[in-house]
Amino acid sequence: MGAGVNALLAAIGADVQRDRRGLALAAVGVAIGVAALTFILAAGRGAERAVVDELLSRTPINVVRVEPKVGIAIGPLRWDAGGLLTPAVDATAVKELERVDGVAAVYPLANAGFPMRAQGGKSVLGHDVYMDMFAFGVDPAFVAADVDAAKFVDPGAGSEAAVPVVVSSQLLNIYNRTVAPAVGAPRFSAEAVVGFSFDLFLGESYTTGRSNQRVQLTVRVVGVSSRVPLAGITVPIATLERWNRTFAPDKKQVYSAAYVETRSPREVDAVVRRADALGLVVDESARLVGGIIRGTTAALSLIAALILAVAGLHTAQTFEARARARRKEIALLRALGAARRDVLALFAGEALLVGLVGALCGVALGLTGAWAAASALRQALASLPFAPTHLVAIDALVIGLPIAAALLAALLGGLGPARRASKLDPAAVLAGGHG
Amino acid sequence: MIRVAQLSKRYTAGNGERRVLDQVDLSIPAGNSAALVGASGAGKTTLLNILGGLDLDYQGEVEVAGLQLRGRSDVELSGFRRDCVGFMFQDFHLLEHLSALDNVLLACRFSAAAERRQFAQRGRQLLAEVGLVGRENERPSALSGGERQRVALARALLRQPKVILADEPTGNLDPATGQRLMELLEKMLRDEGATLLIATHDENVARRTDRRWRLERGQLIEWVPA
Repeated sequence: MGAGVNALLAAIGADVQRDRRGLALAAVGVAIGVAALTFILAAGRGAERAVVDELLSRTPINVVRVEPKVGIAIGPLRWDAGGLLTPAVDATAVKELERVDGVAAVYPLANAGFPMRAQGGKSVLGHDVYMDMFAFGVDPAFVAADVDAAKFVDPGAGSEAAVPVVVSSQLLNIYNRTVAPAVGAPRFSAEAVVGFSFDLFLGESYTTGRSNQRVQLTVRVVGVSSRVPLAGITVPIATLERWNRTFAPDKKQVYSAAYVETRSPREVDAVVRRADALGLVVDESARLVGGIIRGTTAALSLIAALILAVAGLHTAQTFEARARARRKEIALLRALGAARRDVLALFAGEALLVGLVGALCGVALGLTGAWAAASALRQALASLPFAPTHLVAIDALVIGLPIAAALLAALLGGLGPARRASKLDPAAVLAGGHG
Repeated sequence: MIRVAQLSKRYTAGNGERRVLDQVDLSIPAGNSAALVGASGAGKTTLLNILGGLDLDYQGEVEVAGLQLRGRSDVELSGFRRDCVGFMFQDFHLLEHLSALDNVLLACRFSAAAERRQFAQRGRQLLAEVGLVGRENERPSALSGGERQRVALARALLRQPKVILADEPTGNLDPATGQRLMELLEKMLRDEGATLLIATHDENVARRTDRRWRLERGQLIEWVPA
């Protein structure tokens, strides 16, 4: 009959009026599936937020250390345990990592390509300490949370000013817990070491001797940070690159590692995958975070797919039964002028309506259930010091995915019976046959 | 107007083949009535289904209300059935869950609201004309056999079809009720100016039409009542 949308809606409305109970039962089946999916999504994403955004965000878990595979370096390339030449962390790799979605910044960690030694400590220890030293360079922005950025800047070539350095908070912790008690030396807080200065001799080592060039300068501790390497001192990267140009001019600048900071721990997995593709390695904790998030997403997707399949089967069964019960009506409609596409649209429209009603009821039911569960859990967890504030999450995904899934399931489930109904042979059915 | 030329139709049954219509020629001018008589299984319903565009598996030419039926799409044939043909069935084929009026309005189930309102008015008028005034909201189960067939007649006439194909319309009615239904059908046809082809066992019914054929072994034979 070439039905218009209004006419089709009117026909669907008439059918709904007539068979409210049957269609309501079909919608209940869809609603139960959707409610389960909504509940799982709301609670699952709430838990994800509680763990990832609240608990994990208190740790630097969104910072991934990317480094070359362990092996023998030949220029910019390395010979790793697998026997393949593997790339180093260089400017190209840094750019590649910066391009990964969700990456806020990439901070290369440069290391000195020449020997150096340190001397000093008399003012605080009572005697000077002599030792070979390792130096690293980082972008001051990387330690901005721990160190006053105005003080951690390259003084420039020829400057008389002391070179600012940052030391590891873990190193200070180890000193206070083990070295200081063993040698009877005083312990220092993070604040107390700031301002401490000593001499640094570039191009000179107690173990490898002197190089052609030797420079003596003063360094001053300007801060303590958990982000810098444990062994040695860390200077602004501009300072270290300047030193390398002077004392190791023949070496190409490569980095010992790069710290990749993501906007949230959710993006860590993408960094891990990109680093793998670049032939670099990441620390296992980053791989674990990526795995947890990927696993959660996969589990939610699987649940959604299962519920979609069950809702689809339920709709298919319902509409198959409806089509069987309405064979005579369909045949009569066809004999009186309904086209196949009218019958198809009628059944598909009814299936979509069932899906929509079921989805809306299911989402409401699922959210109510999630809220109820969250309030009960919140009361139970109230005494915990780190009780999470997010126990359910309601966002576009939590509401949109179940509705979309229900509509898709209803349409897929209703389409088969609709097609079969539209292909009935009206003459055979009206003659009492099976058509 | 109905025009059929060299129409053949075969059924395959088991290993054999049965020819129910064998190069049949038939012509009924517009506004005339005609009857097909014949034993059960002679092929009367098959011929009506072909003429109504419900059965497309045949050889030959079929033209009904100016439309060649061969090669038409489902949408074209559906439009033809809706606008040009009125069907009446022996078993009435009324839907039990619908009122008498809603059964009459089945042919505009997918029509726009304005058209439905227009047809609802005509439906009520037709029900009144067939003597069912005040019974519009009755379910078929509350109606007698004669009343049900009158609802079916109103349904067949709803869209002012050019052709009415009636398959044993009095078959389930007692002679007196059948007689009254035929009088009503003739009156309505006169008013509407439609062409009628009626398949019937009943020679009394056949006698009331302008032309009559007997369908026997796939052949149409002019039948002159004794």
